[in-house]
Amino acid sequence: MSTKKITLLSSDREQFIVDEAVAIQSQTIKNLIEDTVPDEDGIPLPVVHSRILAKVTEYLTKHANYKPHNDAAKEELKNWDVKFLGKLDNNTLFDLILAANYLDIKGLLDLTCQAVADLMKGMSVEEVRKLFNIENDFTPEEEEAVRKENQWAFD
Amino acid sequence: MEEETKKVACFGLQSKLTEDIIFEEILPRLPIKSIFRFKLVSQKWLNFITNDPLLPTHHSQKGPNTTNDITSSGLFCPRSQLFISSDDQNHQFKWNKPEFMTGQPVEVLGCCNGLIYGMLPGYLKIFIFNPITKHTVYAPNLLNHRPVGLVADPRNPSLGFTILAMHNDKRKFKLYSSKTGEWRVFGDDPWYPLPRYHQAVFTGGKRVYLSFGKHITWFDVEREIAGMIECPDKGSDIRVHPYGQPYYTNIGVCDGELSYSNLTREGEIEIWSEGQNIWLQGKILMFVWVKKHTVSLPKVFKGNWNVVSRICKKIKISNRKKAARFLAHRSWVSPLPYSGGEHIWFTINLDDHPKVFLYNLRTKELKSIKGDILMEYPFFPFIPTLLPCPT
Repeated sequence: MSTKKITLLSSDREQFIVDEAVAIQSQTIKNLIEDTVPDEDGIPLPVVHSRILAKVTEYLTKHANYKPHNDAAKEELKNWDVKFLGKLDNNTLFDLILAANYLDIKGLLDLTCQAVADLMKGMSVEEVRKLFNIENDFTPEEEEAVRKENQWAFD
Repeated sequence: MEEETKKVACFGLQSKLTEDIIFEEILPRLPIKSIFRFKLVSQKWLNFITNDPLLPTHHSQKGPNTTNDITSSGLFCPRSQLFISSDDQNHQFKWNKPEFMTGQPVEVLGCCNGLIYGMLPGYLKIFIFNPITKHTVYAPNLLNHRPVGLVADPRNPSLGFTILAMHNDKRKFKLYSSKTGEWRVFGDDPWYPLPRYHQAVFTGGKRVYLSFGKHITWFDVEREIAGMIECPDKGSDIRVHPYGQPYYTNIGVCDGELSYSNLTREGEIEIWSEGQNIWLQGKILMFVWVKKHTVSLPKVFKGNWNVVSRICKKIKISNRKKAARFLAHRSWVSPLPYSGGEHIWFTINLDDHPKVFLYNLRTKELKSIKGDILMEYPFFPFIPTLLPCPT
């Protein structure tokens, strides 16, 4: 097993030192390692803040070192994921989605997007607008027409 | 639902998520009902949810599966109105009927591109219905017409829809086009009689195939001609089902083309698909079949013994090799329509306890479908759509 260390550099130039096996779960980082000459201080990730990168590496470290072989182990990893999500506020959750998308970490993207979907499931239209800061651009007539056409979804 | 609402109230935050992520990664994970409710969020959301052709596909990959919500592709049996879904849970269920179908004897005839069609009581009205969005359109029918095929593609709404019907007495086919709103005779020649329950599939944007006996009848609604083709396993003795379909053959749609499944005497399921057709003077001269898969059922059974062991106990053959061969017999095994991908469906109907099985070509895993069994033929391939019915 490789114990080569990789240094990741957040947007606020904080260094995160992790095992290579941990880092390359991110397809983007894997490509950066292969294709670029590393910065003296580490691999720069200019759009990920240290506050978020800390969360990302926490997730990656857990998932790299934990290869579940049986159902009990899978269950434990799932519980860990639930706990990990439970500690996040919505802002951090959204930032984490953006980071997972940028860093191309499928597991983390799935986990965080599912969390947002679960959150939205029971929401009203108004609550969803608030959640994503979206303005209602329907006229009352248009709104009424859409509502009527999709009445079953509002029952 | 109430709990979720309360939780939300305490967050108040600035959104920075891009629309790409919301639409492609988050929306498909919601239940269909929530997705439709959120059409009202904004014009952009309405436009995306109404028009994105990939949303149903993404939804069936990522979305949740609550019982009686048809959100994944699978098979539909119009006679018993039963769905078998090919999602992770592999189950079959009765669907949630729309209001107009409860309390009256509505006859469901088939489905096409995620739309179900049938006749209202009195047979004077035909309905086309999307079981997910509940969107329904109607077409007039005449008493002596029996619809046998629907041509509709929600991804191509400008074409409207066409209904192919058989004239009860004269053995002529008629076409109804939603564009003209009229019925007219299809072609000049009288065509072949059809059994009451047949299987019909619609492929390539213009052709309807009806299967019965050794032949498949096709209708090209664009060219307005029809003809017959031989099944790829021609020459095998055909034991025809009361509804016209041999027990051990079936037609389906795979990647927009006709597919044909049959079971050989050796217990192999063969899957064929339509190859390059050659037209001569506007008539099909050659219809080329291409064999896509061959699956030896005795081998499948031997490799998945735990799945079939209970059935094998019933037949009281202790030798596994012999039991596996016995079980793969045409008398009780019927392949179901093949819809492409890695799933092959078939049924085993030993002593009137039919069971549906799903074999995965990639993992070589055999699964028995959960749920109450109610086997009636024919089955139609079903791929759900969130788009409205064409008009």
